[in-house]
Amino acid sequence: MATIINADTSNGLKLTSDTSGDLELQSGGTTKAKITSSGLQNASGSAITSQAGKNKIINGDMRIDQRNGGASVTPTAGTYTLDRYRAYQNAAGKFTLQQSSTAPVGFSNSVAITSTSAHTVAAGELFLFMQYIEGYNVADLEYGTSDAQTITISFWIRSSLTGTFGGALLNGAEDRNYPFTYTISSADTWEKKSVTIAGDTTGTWLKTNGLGLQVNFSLGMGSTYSGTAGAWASGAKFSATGATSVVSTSGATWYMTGLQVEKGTTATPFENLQYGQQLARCQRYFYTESQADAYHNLMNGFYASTSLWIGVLHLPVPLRASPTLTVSGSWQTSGASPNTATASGFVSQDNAVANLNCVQIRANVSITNAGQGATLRNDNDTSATFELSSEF
Amino acid sequence: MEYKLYRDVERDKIIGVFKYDDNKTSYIPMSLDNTDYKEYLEWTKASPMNVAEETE
Repeated sequence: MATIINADTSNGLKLTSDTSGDLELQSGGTTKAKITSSGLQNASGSAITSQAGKNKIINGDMRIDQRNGGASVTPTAGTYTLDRYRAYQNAAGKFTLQQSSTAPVGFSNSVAITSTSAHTVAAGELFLFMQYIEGYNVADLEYGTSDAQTITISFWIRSSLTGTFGGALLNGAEDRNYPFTYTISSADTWEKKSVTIAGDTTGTWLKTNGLGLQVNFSLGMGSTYSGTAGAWASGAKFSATGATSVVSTSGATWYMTGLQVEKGTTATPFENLQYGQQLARCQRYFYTESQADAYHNLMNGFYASTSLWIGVLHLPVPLRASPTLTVSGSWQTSGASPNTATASGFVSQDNAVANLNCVQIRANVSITNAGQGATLRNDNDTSATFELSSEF
Repeated sequence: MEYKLYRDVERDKIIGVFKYDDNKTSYIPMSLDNTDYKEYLEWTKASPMNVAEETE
């Protein structure tokens, strides 16, 4: 027992004392919190600790879409879409995906997935929406040890379909999996779901900047990659056997937002972050800068020779790993007249290390006076792109 | 999709890979932490014909 402090609408405050040394706080006779020799606990006895950073998912509220700015895309086999989310379909063009403003109360955005046909899913086909979580961010879960922690996945979901849907957790090597299910009861209605999963005590789970944990939601899964729900097993299974297939109904829709993966046995309220905080978390994995101005200066540099320009790009947050640099459109270096030159053949250097705070960029140019300073900018091309990706 | 190797003239050493795909050019560092580099390595292993040449 415990000393109980209860507040209700009949008696106001009531104190029931005992000698256990424990204290329970009740509302209307229902325990809401406890104080014991172990510290502050919730009603089910789990420790109440700091909630900051509780969500292992980045961009759970689907607000950040640096790559596509809300435009619809047709993913292929492993296309990054909204920030940190990867979509996968190994039969071409069976669904489209975009950021949506359709959202439940308290959220501004969701991801909207639309089936383009009534596709019969073959045994070896996969249709997925997923997030890969960095090992550093799930190290505290102690997966692969006897101390493995229970986690709870919670999310808001809405679909034109009803029934039992599936997903799965996997490790980076895809040799450990836990298929799970969730049920959508009403069509075209936002419903909040939660799934609680005991930690995996075996297998290899990275705790570094490598891929620590995969969270997969199935949009259609072949039998080869479907497994028994509710248990850890070896192998690569990405959904539960028998789960509803979104891509099998032409025009079917599937929306999700408020995705949260947290330690513990209960789903707590979604961890709302300020926009800038969420963007910074995304930028560890993908950085780009709008070139909406015709001539937008991106970084300073200098002409190392008559054919080589070198600049240094300082990043808002350290990158997970050495990035891939992707450049499109027209670019130029701009220095003292007449040293404005077309820039091409971009490469990045200072690589092969993690947590990069800046990247050296080199470009081919043709100028007359080496040694002068020059900035890099888009060349009257508002559709030009300059992207650094250190995604998985 | 096409790959070409990038040689750093200062160090006279191959240090990266260009990937040409969908009208975009990507520069991929030779780092095993980089997913695109791991994909390039898988591409080279997939067929003896998959050999990237150096950029000119």
